[in-house]
Amino acid sequence: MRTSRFVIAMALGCAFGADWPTDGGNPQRTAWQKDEKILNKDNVKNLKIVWKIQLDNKPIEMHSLFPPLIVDKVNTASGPKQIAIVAGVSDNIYAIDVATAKIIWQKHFEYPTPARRGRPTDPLCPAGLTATPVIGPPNANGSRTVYAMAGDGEVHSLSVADGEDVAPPFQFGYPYGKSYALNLWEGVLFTTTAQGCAGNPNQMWSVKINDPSHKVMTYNPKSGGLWGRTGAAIDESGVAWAPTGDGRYDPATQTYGNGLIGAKVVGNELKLQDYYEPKNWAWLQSRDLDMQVTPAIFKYKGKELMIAASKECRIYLLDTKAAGGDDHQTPLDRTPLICNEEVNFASAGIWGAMASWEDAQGTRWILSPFWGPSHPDFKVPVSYGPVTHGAVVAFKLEEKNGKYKLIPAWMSRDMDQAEPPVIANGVVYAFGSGENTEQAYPDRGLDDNSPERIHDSTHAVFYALDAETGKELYSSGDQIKSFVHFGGLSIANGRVYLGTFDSILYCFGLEGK
Amino acid sequence: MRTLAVLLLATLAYAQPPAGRPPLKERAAAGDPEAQFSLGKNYEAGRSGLKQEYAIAASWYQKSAEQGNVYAQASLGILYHSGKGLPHDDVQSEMWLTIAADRVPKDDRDTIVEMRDSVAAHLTPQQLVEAQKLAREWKPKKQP
Repeated sequence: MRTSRFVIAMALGCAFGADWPTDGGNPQRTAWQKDEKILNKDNVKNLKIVWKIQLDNKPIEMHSLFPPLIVDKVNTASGPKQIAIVAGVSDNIYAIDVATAKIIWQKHFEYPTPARRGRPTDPLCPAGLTATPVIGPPNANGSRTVYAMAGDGEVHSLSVADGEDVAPPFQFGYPYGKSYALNLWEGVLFTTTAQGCAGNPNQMWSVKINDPSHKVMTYNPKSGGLWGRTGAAIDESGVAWAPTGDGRYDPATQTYGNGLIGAKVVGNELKLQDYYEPKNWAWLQSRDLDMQVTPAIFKYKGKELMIAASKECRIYLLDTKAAGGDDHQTPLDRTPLICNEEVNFASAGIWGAMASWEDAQGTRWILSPFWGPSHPDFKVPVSYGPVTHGAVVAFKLEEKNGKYKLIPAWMSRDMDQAEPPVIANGVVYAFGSGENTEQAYPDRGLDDNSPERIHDSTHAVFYALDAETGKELYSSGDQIKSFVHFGGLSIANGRVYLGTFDSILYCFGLEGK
Repeated sequence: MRTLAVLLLATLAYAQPPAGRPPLKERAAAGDPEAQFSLGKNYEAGRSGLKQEYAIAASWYQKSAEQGNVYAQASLGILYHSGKGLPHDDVQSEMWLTIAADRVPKDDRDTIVEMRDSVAAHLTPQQLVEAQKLAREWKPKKQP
């Protein structure tokens, strides 16, 4: 009986709409919404802001709202609703009725002020909630739970329908330790940490939700931070992949700086399964060009593949079953430099997360955002004017006789600090964050401080692009009034969402849809 | 008070080199090519309490490069190409990237070669010949 109820619940979910239950859309972090039926490349020119809502979340150190999670057909006390769950850095969770833009419930996490925190004004270490939550699959009754980590590192399990605790909170992260987006795979929560905020080690973290002791399992690659924007991506074997920041590579001492590690829960431990190290890791380290982009994982011709990237500004294609081959240093393919000719450590290169989708003809597409000017030697068949501030670049994946190749397809128009895109129904949605990303200044050197960066930031611009050509189909122009730092796009059921620094959540869609 | 003490200790720990090791600037001034490269990088990035000064970065890269530090050679080539801290000079850029590419450990070679070839595309045949000649004739200098 329970099984049949579960099947019915799943079938209803499939029949009525699409979800976006985690940052990047799915545990593999492809950022591809496969179930979009409303928006398409013919009608997105008519996109408009169908609603926006001012939330009472207080921004902290440039951070504000994290990418919304979307669940359709949630049974609430007032009937089934499509709900957007939005986390705010000042320890807030909001559940918003997508149809009416009204808050259904909200939660503020209270806790004693942790003993340590990042330096005030340091944009790297905000003292608050930093991990995008994750929504679990429906239970036997079709109910959904959102798992949200407060700034003190406690995970709260809340009913999506009403915000009530469905289980007692448990400790997972490090207080004010800057955890990245949560991911969930077969009952195991994953996160990563970076920047050593409040003394927190840079490592991968996991915990079994149903473990009564909630033993925290970690793997430390002895590297710089694991700061891929959407945390770890998880492959079909349950291996969580995360990039590692600047550091040495020395397999003899299990030191994996400037690479990509894959770790899996085995028994009650998180154990390294595989890793990839670019051959030029020493150059990357010498110039602070760390790998810090969440990979995207996808199936292609019977194989499970993965794309990763770094601030150096090239993309690597890897096999999740043998990342980097026998020597862990040989990718299936790697692109030439796409940007960052000046080898800038702060405001150029690939940042954030990768994306991938497959078109109706079975062509696999790879998407990457990048910051700064495109590399003058990077040749792409279709482009839209000079790129000086950033863009989204698309590649097609080809395979011949076992050899894989990433073929440049298009480069978008210039975007002011292009952020990770999402894809749905033949349309790429992207945005320039408008964020000032400078960390050092001629008059005083490194001075990465929030007030100055906030002052010098402008506003985000949201775009819809033809996913096969990169042609601009829609631009929000100057309708968005603030910038975005560590926010991101979500898409489901004809609506695209973006939260900005001023704690406004924008919802783009079509009139009457 | 306790917080202040912790902050003070943290600041001291940040500011001081490891016990028994002279500060970076002293090591660089004494002719240590690794230290010279690190100092150049810090000036280029504006880190470790230094102002972002490309010209000073270039001068430290130059000292380190002349002693044979391949990362300094490549970094100097990058600055010559961008014209930051130095007059834009693609012949000098090509020369230093060629020197670096010929000496860098093989795992980093592809990257340096990619940059070298990128700069070469901006040169006339005569300029390329000149840069290659300068690279061939270059010899490391030991600094006092």
